[in-house]
Formats: sequence, C-alpha cells, structure tokens
Amino acid sequence: MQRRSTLNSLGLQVSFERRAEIGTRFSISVTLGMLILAFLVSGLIFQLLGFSAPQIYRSFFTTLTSAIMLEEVFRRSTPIILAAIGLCYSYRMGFWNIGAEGQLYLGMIAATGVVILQKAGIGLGEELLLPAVAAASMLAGGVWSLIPALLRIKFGANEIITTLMLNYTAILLADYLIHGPWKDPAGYGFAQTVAFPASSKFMIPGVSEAITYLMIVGVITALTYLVFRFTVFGFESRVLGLNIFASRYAGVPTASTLLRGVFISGALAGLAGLIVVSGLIGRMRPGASPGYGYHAIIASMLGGLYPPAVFMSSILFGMLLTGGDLLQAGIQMPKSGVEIIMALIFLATIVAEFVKRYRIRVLRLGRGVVA
Amino acid sequence: MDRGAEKSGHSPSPSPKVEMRGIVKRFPGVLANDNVDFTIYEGEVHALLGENGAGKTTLMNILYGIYTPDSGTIRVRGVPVKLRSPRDAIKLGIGMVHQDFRLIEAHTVVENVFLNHRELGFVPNWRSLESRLEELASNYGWKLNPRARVGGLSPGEKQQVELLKLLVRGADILLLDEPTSVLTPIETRMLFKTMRRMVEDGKSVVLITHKLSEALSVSDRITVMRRGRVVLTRPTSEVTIEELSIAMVGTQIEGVVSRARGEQGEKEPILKISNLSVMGDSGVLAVRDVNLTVYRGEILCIAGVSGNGQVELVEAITGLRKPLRGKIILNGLDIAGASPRRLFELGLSYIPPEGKKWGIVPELSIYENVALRVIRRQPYSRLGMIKWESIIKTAQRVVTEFRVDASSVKARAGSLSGGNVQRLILGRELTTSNPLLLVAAYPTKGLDIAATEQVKRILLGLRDEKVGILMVSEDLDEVLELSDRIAVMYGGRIVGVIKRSEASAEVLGSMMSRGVPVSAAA
Amino acid sequence: MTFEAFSIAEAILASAISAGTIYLIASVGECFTERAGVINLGLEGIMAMGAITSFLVTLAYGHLVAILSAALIGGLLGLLHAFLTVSLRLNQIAVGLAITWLGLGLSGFMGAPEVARDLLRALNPNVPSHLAELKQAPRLPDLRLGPLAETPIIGRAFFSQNVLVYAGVALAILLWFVLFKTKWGLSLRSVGENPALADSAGVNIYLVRYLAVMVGSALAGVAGAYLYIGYQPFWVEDLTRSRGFIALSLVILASWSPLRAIAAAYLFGGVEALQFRIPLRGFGAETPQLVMMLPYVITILTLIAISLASRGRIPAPAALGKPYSREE
Repeated sequence: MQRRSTLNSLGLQVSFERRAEIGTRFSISVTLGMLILAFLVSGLIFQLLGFSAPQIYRSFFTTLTSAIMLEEVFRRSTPIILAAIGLCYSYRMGFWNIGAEGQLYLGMIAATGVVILQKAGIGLGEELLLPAVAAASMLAGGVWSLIPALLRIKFGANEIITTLMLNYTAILLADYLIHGPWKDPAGYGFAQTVAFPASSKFMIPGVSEAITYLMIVGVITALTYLVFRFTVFGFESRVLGLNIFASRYAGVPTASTLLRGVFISGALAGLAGLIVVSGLIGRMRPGASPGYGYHAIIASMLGGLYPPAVFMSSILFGMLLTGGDLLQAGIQMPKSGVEIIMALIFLATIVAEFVKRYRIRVLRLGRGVVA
Repeated sequence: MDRGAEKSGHSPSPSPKVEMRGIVKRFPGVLANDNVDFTIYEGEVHALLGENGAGKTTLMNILYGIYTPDSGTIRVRGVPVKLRSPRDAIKLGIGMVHQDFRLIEAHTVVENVFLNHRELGFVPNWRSLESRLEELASNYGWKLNPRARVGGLSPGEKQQVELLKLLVRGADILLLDEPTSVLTPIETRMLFKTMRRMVEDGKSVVLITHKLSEALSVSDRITVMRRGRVVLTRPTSEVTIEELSIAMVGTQIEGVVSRARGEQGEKEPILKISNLSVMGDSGVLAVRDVNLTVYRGEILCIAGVSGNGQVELVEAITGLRKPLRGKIILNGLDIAGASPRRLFELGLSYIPPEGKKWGIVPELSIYENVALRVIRRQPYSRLGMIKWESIIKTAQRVVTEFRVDASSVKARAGSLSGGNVQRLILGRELTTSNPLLLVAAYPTKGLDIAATEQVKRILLGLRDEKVGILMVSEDLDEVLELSDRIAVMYGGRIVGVIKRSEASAEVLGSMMSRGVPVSAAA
Repeated sequence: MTFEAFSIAEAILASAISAGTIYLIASVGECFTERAGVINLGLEGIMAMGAITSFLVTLAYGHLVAILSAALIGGLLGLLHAFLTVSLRLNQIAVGLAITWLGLGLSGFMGAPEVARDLLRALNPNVPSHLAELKQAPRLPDLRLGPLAETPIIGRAFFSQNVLVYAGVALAILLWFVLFKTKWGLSLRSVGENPALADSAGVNIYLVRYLAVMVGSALAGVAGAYLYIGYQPFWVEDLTRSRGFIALSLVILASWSPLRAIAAAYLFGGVEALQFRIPLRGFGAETPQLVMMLPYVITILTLIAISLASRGRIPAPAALGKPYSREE
C-alpha cells in the first residue's frame, strides 16, 4: 500500500509506504528514540530560556539515586498509574476521554464527604472507613465519567469537549466545597478540609507507604492486563475500537460495552483521587492534583495502552514531577517546565506512531506530458 | 423504445476524434484490459456494452487519465497523447461523469459547476454565472435552479450538474459511466434526448452500460466488451439483440463444465423466504417481494448485474439489515430480524463481500479473527474468560485445513492476501460451526485463479455434505459451473429460477439485462 | 425602568461584548480552519501562547507589535499543526491536544516571574525588566466612536471598546466574505467537503489546508493577546481556562459561519459577564466557584441543544478531521 504526499511543484514526490509488519523490538526502539529526542528538544528550549540543560537532566537522574527520592517518585507515580491504566479502557474503545482529572477530583470529593460524615458520627464505623472511602471515590469517579459517555451515545456530543468542561466543573465544585461548606473550622482559616484519619489510608504493616501503593497499583495493572488479554469484555472492547462493522458482525453489545469501559476508567481515576487526598497530601486542598489526570493521558499513550508499559511510563512521569520539585527548589525553575517536557513526550509519541507505520521515500518525478 | 427514431442518421465522419490502440491494463490478479482497440468519431453516441467487470470502466478511466495503461497508444484528434490525470484529459476536451456522482452536496449548483474554474474572478460575479448556467441548461431543456443546494436535487438533476461541469469546461468528448442506473424511466428518456442533442452539436458521447435495450435505443455504434476484450464493434443498425446478448455473456456458455450434483431424490428445504421486502440505503425498496427456497445439498446461485438488490437480500438473510416485511424461515424457525450472532448459533454461516473490509479486523491477528464470531461460546470462553489455547488450536486447524498462507496464526490478518483472507473467513465459519446454510456473497471476487479454484472446491465439498448454499455472483461462468439452480435478480425481484440444465446464454442474458422472465424469453 | 436597571444593563452588555470578543476572534479563525476540513484542538494552547507573548511584547514594544507577535507565534504553531496533520497525516485530535499542552506549559513557564524578567530583558534591554515581575501590562485603550459612544445602553457596549473588539467584528465579516463570496473561499470549502474532488478540480489541497490552519491559529494567537491586553491585563497561570475549547464548541453552535459566530461568541460573553455579576448581587459572594461553573455547564447544554435541534444532522464539513491522501 502506498500513500503519497506531493511536493510535485519541486519535481519531487515524497511517498510514505505502509509497513506490512511492525516488530515489537523495532516499535520499542522507535518509541525510546523519540523519547530521547523529546528530552533533547526540551533541553534546548530550557537552555534558550536561560536554564542549564545538563543541570536539569542531572536533577531527573538524582531522583533515582536515593531511597527517599525513590519513595517520592513512587508516591507521585501512583495516581498517574491508576488514572492511566483506567484511561486504557476508554482509549482502546476509541473513546477520547480527557476527563481523568475531573474524575479524580470527584473521587477526592466523595472520599472527603465520607470522612466528614464519619467524623460527624454518621458512618459505618472506623474499621469500615477504608472500604467506604474506596467505594465512594470509585463510584463517584465512575458515575462522573458516565456523563460524557451517555452524552455521546444519546446526543453524539464530542467527548473531548464534554470531558474537558466536566474537568473544570469538578475542580470548581471541589474548590467550592473547600472554601465553603466543607472548610475545616479548626484549620486556622486555611482553605482545606479536615485531615483524613489513619484508618482511611491504605497501609500494610511493616511496609512503607510507597511500597504499599506500588503493590496496589501493581495488582491493578496486572488485573487490567489479564482483563485485556483473557476476558470477552477486553476482547470485545478492542474490536469495538477498531471496527464498528466487525463488532456488529461479531455481535458486540456496543452501548453497554462502552459504558462499562468508561465507568472503569472513571472509577480508577476516582481511586487515584482517594490516594491523593488520603495519602499524598492528607486532606483536600485547592489544586490538590497538579494535573495527574492529564499526565495520565500522556502516560497511557506513551505506553501504547499496554498495561505494563503504561505502568513504566507513569513512573517516568512520577520521576519528572519529583525532579521538577527539586529543580523548583534548587534553581528556581518554574514547575510548568515539567509540563513542557510532558507535552513534548506526547508529541514524540504521536510522531513515533508515524515512523513505525511508514517507510519514507523521496522520488524524482518526470513532468506530466500532454503532447 | 423505438430504435433510431430520434437519431440523426448521418454516418460517422472518417477521422476519429479518439483512437485507442492495443490498450493493456493489469491489476493484481486481473487482466482488466487485454489489447483493446476503441475509437470515437465526431457526432456519435458510442455504446460501450458489457457485464460488470468486463473492463469498460477501466478503459474509460484510462481515457480520462485516472489510470495509465501498461501499454498501448491513445490519439486525440490524430495527436498521440499521454494522460497523467483527469486534468490532462479535460484540457483535451474529454470529460467523464462517474457512476457515483462527484459533487459537493452542501454546495449550490453554480458553486459545484464553477469550482476552481479558470474564468472565475477573485470575487466572482455569481449572478452572471447563474444566468449563464440557466441558459446552458435551458438549451438542453433542463429546469435547474443554479442556486439550489445539490444535496436536495434528484439523481437526474445531479447528473445534469455533472454534465454542466463538463460543458462549461468545453468538453466535447463525454464519457458517461452507467448514467441511467440511478434514473427513473422518464429521466432516462430525457437523458437520451440530451445525448442526441449533444451529438447534433458535434460532440461525441460514450455510453458505458450493461443494458442492451439502452445501447440499442440511443447509440449509433456499439462495442461489446467481455473479460477485458472487445468482442464486437458494429453500427447499431446492423446488430440484433440476440447477437449482442451472446456477445455479452460469452459464446462459450455451453462450454462451461457444470459441477452440479445432478438430480437428487427427496428435497429437504433449509431456507424458505416468502414475500420479503427490504429497504435500501437510499430509502427505496431494494428487495421487492422475494420468494425463494434453498434445499439441503444444493448450490443456489443468485445471478444478476450488481446493484439489483443482491447485497440487501443477503444482508437481510444474515441479520445485518432489518427486513421491511416478509418471512425468512431457517430450518423451520422464522429468523427475520435476528442478530448475526444468533443466526450463527442457529447454523447460518456467512461469507461477506469484500472480505478484507467486512469479514476481518485487519489490525488483529489471525487467531483473534478466528475468535470474532465464537468468543462468547464454549469451549472458546467460560464465564467471560477466554480460552486462548482452544482458539489458537482452532486457528491452527483453520490455517492448515484451509491452506491460509501465513507465517503463524499470530500474524496480523491485514497482512494476508485477498485469497488468504477469503480462505480464513471460510475456514473460520466452517470450522467453528456446523452450518446448515452457507450464504456466500461474491466469494471469489478479486481472487487469482488458484485461490478461486480452492474456494470453489470448498463450496462443492460442503454441498456434498448436505449443506444448503446460497451464493451471489456476477461471474456467469462461475454461476454456470457451480450452481444446481440459478435465480436471476433484476430490479429487486427474482425474475426467474431455472435449473442449471435449462440455462443458456440467451435465457440468462435476457433475464439479467432486461428482467424478462424465463417463460417470455424462451 | 429605573436608572439603576439601565446602568446595570449597560454594564452587562458592555462586558458581554468585551468578554465575547475573546471567543469571537478564536472561533472565527477556527470556522475558517474547519471549513478546510482540519480541526484544531490546539486552540487553547495557542491562545495561551498569544497571551504570554502579548504580555511580554507589550512591555517591550507596545500594543501593536504585541498583537502582531501573538499572531506570528500562533501562525508558527499552526504551521507545526499543519505539518503534522496535513503532511504527515497524523491524528488531528492527538496533535491538537499535544499543541495545547505544549502551549499551556510553555506559557506558564514563560510567565513565571524570574523567566518573564529575563525574557523581557532579552526582548528590550532598555525597559526596566522588573516590570515583568509585576505581571501587569498596560491595557489596550478604549476608542470612543464620537457621539455614538454616548448612546444609552448600547453606546458603551458597541462604540466605546478597544480596537480588537471592533477588529473582531471586522474579521468575522471579512472571513465570511472570503469564505462565501470569493473563488478562494469556494476552493477552501470544497477542500473541507470533498478533498478528492477539489484535488481533481486542480485545487492545491495542501496549500489550502496549511493556510487555513495557519490563519486560524494566528487568530487564536490574537485572541490570546486580546484576552490579556484587552480584557484582563494581569498574568496568571491558566489564564485561558478552557476558553479555547469553548471557542471550539461555539464553532458548532455557529454552524461554521463566521457571521453566526458573532452572535454565539457574544452570547457566551454574556454568560461570562453574568458569572462576575451574580456574586455582586449576593449569591456566591464568598464562594463564586458555583457561578464560575456556568460557562462549562452551558457549553455542555449547548452541545445537547444543538444535537436536539439538528436531530443528529449537524452540518459539519464532510471531511472534517479526516487526513487526505491520494490513494494509489
């Protein structure tokens, strides 16, 4: 199969030939190559904006050199992994869910609500607090994500726009609660909610916080891998994303598959929200998430929607965030520097897809002849 | 229609406007044009007649610059030319109206006609262009509002817009590809009048058609193509309808060796269709009141020129399209409106047309494609968990038994050739179920000779195992070779069902091209 | 009506037009881009880049250069978008989002006081660079159109605004004229409807799409510049707050017509104006967040309304979002 673009006026023709097979090793090396390119380009940008690129690279490397740093990397990776694994469910069905950030906030809100109720004496009791907050955050994230899915099914509304709008709505809702009815009266006037009690946290005795989280997200990643690989639902959601006709021919129930997959996406993002408020920062505050839901989008794409690779990509992002904090403290580099790197990684991921799919050829052309 | 009544009658002038010599065009697996000669004279309507796939459209696409021939020469007004794109053709005054209209539905008539026209100013004076169009249109007796959106026009009017596009660009050699296929009888008559009017003005018109009656009623000369070759070129006044139909469907029709099973003892119906009507995509009835029975252990072929409702009929039977009314009884059970998956469970297997597009998911591996239809069934899955070992085992069986040429069952299905895709689909349908009825739509289309023969053997083998087979094909040789009975479809109806032994070129030709039932034609 | 009611109506109308111009300039440009069959989800990031550019360049060289630089930056990001989506035929959604995030990250970075200070020094060493740390730049002055500006109620809204407000309307009319009354416009629209056909009619698809994306992006840059120097001349991170995406939905509401985009944009300008008015009247004075949700919620409701009103037949350009290639 050949596709052509024209530079005809120059007498040149650039043709893109589609590759028949894409080998795994080739695919991985292209992705890694593009990743390195993204880092080089961002280094160049930082250098131009007056920061030392080598110093920046070194900072990211430093995060891997001490146990304390690594703990932080894993902690910050956790919400990204959860949300990114969740997004894989949406993306493999061809549903452009940009809404993990909002779903994550809904998870925070629901968990905080349960904690406030518990403190007011309305609840299932201390020993059931953890299951209660977990269930509430997942349910809230999941239900929030069903809104754009239903809008798409019923009204054909573009999910990119609806999920983005719902992100802002969710963040504002959280802000409202933090500044208004849920503001901690004992908080010395700070805009924040009450602290999460120890009983609401994921803890395994004798294991550090970071390792606990890694074990949880490791299990979820593995389960997702199994769902994609070994369940009818996983298979059918992939067929749905690839070919609407074939899915009809094969009898895939379109709407219910879509709703199920999107719900799982939202539930995992909601769980990520719980980990942020119960573990990473201990309570709900404005700007509780620095954009984990957006980082997760890039991580899931970089990992090619393949759960183990998504896990690794998310850890890279945790590393970037931790390194970014170091840079902010050390050389006063603004924290959005990390976002530039992430955006370039995303761009690199997209271009990598092209490089994998096509072989590029330049041909010389004769002129068209009309005698 | 009374022939020749409207014709000018003057004999073609000796110097040809277009001369195509020794044109050869090969596509993968098909020789579409095999050393074709074709000439167009000034002031003639030249009918290019033939079955679908005879190579007519390919030949005209070459003249229009869409394809470049592998060999052969083209002269326009005596000058040798090389046509690299339609733009080259238009510069030489050659214009083509395709079967599918190439118009922008959201734009107005005048916008469509003058898109990127050389005389268009930066701020075009639309009013004067509109009146120019109106004038041109009225010249041919068309009532066309230049400011109307094309999307709201009838097919006949859209065709007029296509013609106007060519006329304002000064085309005087007009190639019309199956122009009547979308027209009502009245619109058709009007189009023929236009065509005569055009040749009176000195233009030349090529009418590409598969309908004998049209060729006879409007043309000055007729060229018949069959299997990529010209089999006849003669003035219209010197040919008979019988000669033409034999030329079209082939003179070796009696030479095709039938592989029919011969007379059976008791006949056990497996599929019974009664009074079935199905709506087409355009909102017109595509299948009208069809009654049809398929028996176990026979191949019933639906013959006919494509676009006469075959696809819609098949889609209704296989659950991909909801029938409007009527009954479809499979093995005693009314299945009208059932889902494809349910039908598969009930023993109906289906080979879709264009396998690569409709039958497989190219991005998935071979074994995942094998799983497509059966994934929810034991032993392929239990309680929602897939058993890949059993699927891979089945896939390996499919690949070996149906000779799918692939490095492994893990290869991407999209990397397979057309023949391998078709064998994969057949293999999947037959290995994962024991079909009572197999519906095969154009199962050999686009395959090379060896692959075609393999598919035919598989179908014949199934027939011997008492499976009922309903097959749709445009290839008459294939129909004659495989079928036990032949049903001809024309205009959404089954115009006749005949035994293979009763089939002859004349009978089939007239049924397929004119819709004349067998009794009237015999 | 009381005097107070008059003056409130006058103020709301004026701020509706003022806020609506952000949407107007961006969505008019996007109408143009989408009519050629390309959807630019990078709008948000390009607006952010336009805003930061206008902030720094205004301090260095004044408003005019600032607006032109914002257009230039926008056009360059559009060039990147076009290269990736038109030449390499990459997924328009993915590319657009990447550009949005790049623009948001880069603008946030450039707007940080220490970086902004250095950038300003590099741009014009003669300007005291600490000005950049104050995050403020002079606002575009209002141009009062003579006595018209004194007209009750509508005078302030329509005849006493800055130059970009007038330019927004002029641009809408100009682009409408180009799209629907000129030979270029016809070619451009054909590319968005049926590129294969336009190609065979001799239209240079690649040129048209590159230009359409670049013009739309340049205008998004200008919209960003307006957002900062014409509307809210105080730099904060995430200044755009999804307005680029709202502008994208407005294109649907305007059914891809620059003229209808004027109405759609002012309508949403009104929503934004209300969002600041309602807290003044009591509700949400302490916690304005619920009221601030309005534009986002209304955008979603608008999408539903459009779908209901058009019964699923939204008149989008037929080839929107689809990469074109001559398949051979």
